Amino acid sequence: MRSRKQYTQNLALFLKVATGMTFIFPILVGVVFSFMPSRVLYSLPTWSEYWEQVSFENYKWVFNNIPVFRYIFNTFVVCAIVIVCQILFSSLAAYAFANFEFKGKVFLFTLIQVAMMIPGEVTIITNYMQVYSWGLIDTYLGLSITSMIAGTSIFMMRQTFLSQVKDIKEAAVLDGCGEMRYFIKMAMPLARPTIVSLILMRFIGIYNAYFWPLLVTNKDTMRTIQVGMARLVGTDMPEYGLILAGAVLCIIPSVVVFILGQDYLVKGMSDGAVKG
Amino acid sequence: MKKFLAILCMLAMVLTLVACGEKQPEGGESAGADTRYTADGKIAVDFWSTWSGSTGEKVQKMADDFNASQDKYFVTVNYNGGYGDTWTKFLAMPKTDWPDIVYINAEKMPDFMYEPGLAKPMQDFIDAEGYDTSNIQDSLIGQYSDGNGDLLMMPMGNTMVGFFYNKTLCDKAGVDPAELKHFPDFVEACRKVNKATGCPTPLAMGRNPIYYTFLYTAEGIKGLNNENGRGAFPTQSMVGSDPLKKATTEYLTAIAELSKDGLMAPFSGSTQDFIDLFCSGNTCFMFFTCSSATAIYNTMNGAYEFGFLPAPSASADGKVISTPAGGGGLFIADNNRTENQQGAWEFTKFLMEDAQTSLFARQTGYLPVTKSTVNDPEYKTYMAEVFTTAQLCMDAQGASDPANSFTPAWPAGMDYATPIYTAIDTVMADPSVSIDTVVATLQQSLQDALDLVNMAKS
Amino acid sequence: MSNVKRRKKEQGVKVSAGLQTKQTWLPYALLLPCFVFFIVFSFWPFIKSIYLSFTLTDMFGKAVKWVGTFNYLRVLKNPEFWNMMKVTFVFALMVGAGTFLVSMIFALLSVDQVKGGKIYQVMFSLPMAIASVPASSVFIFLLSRDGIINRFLGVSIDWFGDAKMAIFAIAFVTIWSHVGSSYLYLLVGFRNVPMDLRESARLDGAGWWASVKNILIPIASPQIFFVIFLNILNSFKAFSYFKLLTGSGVGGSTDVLIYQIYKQAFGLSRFETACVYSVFLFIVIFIFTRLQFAFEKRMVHYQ
Repeated sequence: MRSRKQYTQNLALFLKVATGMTFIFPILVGVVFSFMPSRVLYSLPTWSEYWEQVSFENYKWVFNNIPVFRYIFNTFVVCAIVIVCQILFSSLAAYAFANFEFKGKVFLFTLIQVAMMIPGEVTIITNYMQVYSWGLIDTYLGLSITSMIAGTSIFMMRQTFLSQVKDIKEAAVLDGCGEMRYFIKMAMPLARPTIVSLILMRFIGIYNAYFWPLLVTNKDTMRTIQVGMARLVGTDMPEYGLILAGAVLCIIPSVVVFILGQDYLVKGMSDGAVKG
Repeated sequence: MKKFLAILCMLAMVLTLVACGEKQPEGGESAGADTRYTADGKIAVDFWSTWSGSTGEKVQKMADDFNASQDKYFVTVNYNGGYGDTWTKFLAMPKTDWPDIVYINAEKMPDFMYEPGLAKPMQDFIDAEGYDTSNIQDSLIGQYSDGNGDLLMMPMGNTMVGFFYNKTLCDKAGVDPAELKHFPDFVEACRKVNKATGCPTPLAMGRNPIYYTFLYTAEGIKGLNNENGRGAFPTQSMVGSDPLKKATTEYLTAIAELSKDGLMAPFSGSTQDFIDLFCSGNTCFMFFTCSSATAIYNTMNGAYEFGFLPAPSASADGKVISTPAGGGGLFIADNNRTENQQGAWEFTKFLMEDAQTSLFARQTGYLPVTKSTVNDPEYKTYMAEVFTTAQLCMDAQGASDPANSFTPAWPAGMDYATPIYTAIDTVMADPSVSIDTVVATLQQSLQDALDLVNMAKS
Repeated sequence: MSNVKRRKKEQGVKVSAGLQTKQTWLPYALLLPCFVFFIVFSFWPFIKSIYLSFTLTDMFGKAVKWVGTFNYLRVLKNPEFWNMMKVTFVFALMVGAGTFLVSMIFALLSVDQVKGGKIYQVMFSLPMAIASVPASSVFIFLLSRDGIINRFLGVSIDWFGDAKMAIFAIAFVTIWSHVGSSYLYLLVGFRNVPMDLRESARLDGAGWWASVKNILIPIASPQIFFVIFLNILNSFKAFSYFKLLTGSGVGGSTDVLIYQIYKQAFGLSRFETACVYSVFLFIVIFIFTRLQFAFEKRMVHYQ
């Protein structure tokens, strides 16, 4: 009896993992084929041909011709700026919505929702021209400025603050603790899971950004990773080996961060979840 | 409390300043001064290239060679996306920060004609030093010059519209591709090929309006009034009247005939896709640009013998008198920085030298833009092994009537592509539709699009 | 008065017995950075777009002529516009429903936390960490006419080039990349349902599916509705794969609203038309968001 239950459990696990593998199979294929020279990829090789031809030449070419580490460095700097600003400003705003009553509160909250409804492609050129007129082209500030605040961050932080137990705050306030002191000493530390979750999501978001960094950087040395890698694509005659190698290099950092941070991500989303 | 907020503000300001201060000082551009210099005192030439991958590598090599050959100027190659993204960015920038020289597709030529402040015409530089342009293919000069004969862009990517043919299949079917001088001739030819060899969809056409517009331009027909836009700003689409009406009708009828018999490949797909179609023998006549010659050679891997011929006429009885050129070229931006522009011009001249034109042509499959490139030994080898019909194409370009070598100068903001696609898609989807109606709709849509542009100009 | 109250009075605070203190200026100060940001980067550009939609623009995007409702009439009369709206809604439905179904199945598979379950949890959500540029590179490779998928299925379809197939191929890739976050949201909603409720149902003899149907889903329903609407809204805004996978488009079959905005503005230099489309897109998003809130209110009532 017990081994039967064990067996079904193992089988279920195996099937689920298999489903998972099937789901991410494009990524796996990308990795596998990135080790094939481009010219061989035009006609898909068989297994034996593959092992014969396996080489690192694509990766060598990419590292020699594309400043991968520069791009990643730039991306990380932008991520850092954006994350700090977002956590800061979104938390302040969320704290205001969660803990205060003030005139126009509902109206202002609706305004934020409206702002979230405006699709990015609509605003991008005007933003570009404004950022340009401020002389922020080819700067880290220019790269990060349009991502410094996001509606979803405000929402999640607000949800978290709302779910924080009020009694402690009430007691603290009556003891003479100022609002902002409470914010720093209690509310934010308690919200740590959500904050970490936000950090992870924003990191991935900024890491994956393409069009804005393309517009805002002219110099190759200031480019972020997606724009930099896109240099490999775009000719009429795609050299798949190079493209796949570039793609794999591209996704490694975000995938690593994602896997390592899975638990935090889920926990943070849990605290910010829609409660019944 | 207030102290806390003050600290917060200061923190934000410091963060901002730090971010601002991170501006990477490459090239030490002197802000405010007219000329831009590199860090070691050379005059900087900012070159926006749309080439990536290994072609991008070759472009970088050409820039490196130029930089090594002289001390005064230094070219930096910057990639800003493909044609679309590059152009978007260029237009959104203030004039004073424009790059010095940009490679852009030939379709942008009309913009330079109609909008004088965008590019500094190449002609200015040519006249200033008496540069001899006779080495450049005449039909290219025709395509890239305005109505006064001033060369606005310098051709660099020279591509010819025509069709690749599968020689093996043609021989088997007893069809001589050189005899196919009119587009409607292909109907019979495809039927023969299909019957003799079982090739399922003998005719394929790239999804691009050029496989219609270039065909009627080749027989000397104009698509827009006012000399295709070169005399004055165009106000009328010519599809509504003969000879273009007749040519369009015959062209679309041929497509209908082919679609009725199921002999036409789908009118969509990536370049790679069409190449695969051709190289697998599933298509015998592929309307494309010769710039894919190298790619096809590599993919074909000897499976079939193939060749390339210039475009036929669109109409059933037109005579081909010109071979309009497509592709792309260089323009020097009108950014008022005379020294840097001069550097751009020097770089342009360098790129017109045989060694460079040969390198570029061999890498891409574009035809060389100059007549003397055929003397370059490496290009000779390339012609013999890879692009066997290159000489034929260049002869055709040489024989092209310069007065009729330019395609309609479609103004920016005129959506001429969608009506053309709609017309062809409609005919292919329902071959029994009334061709006259389709042509009338095409004319109406093109005219509406043109009217909109004229309305904005008035 | 007590020290506390006096101090608070000095801070400009209205003292009340209640929990939420009535501050006069603090909340506004806290909100200030956000609103400055939104005004500069969201509202102002959008208002400008609305203005431009009533004008004709030059190739640089500057207004050159006021034409009132001419653009709107022109667009509404154009049959291509209605085709585009149809395609937009069909696509949104496909992607919204597809993402929801797949993420729902995955979430149900992952509800019971087992040893090793982390592995497939990571796998199911991994695509959300993959950027669209590398993802499109891989999918173009996979779905090319000679590619692996075609070999596997034994067909020879040009997935991104064929007019009939392209929209499905793009929907497929978009669903693939959207499943990750929906899956995590649903999972989180399911895990928030107290285990004991389901346990006791099982002890009472209810099967696995029954416990899911009668307990898990109803309790997690707010989260489920949130995910449904999130998906629909995201599919209206899903743009990058259209640009990266099809380039110049494949006939009218892939013209969704957001892609047309991009095409009109940057491909055709018809900025005013792009602005008209933006206004329409905003209206669509607005309607669906209102619907979402109406649903949420109803769901909360049921609880």
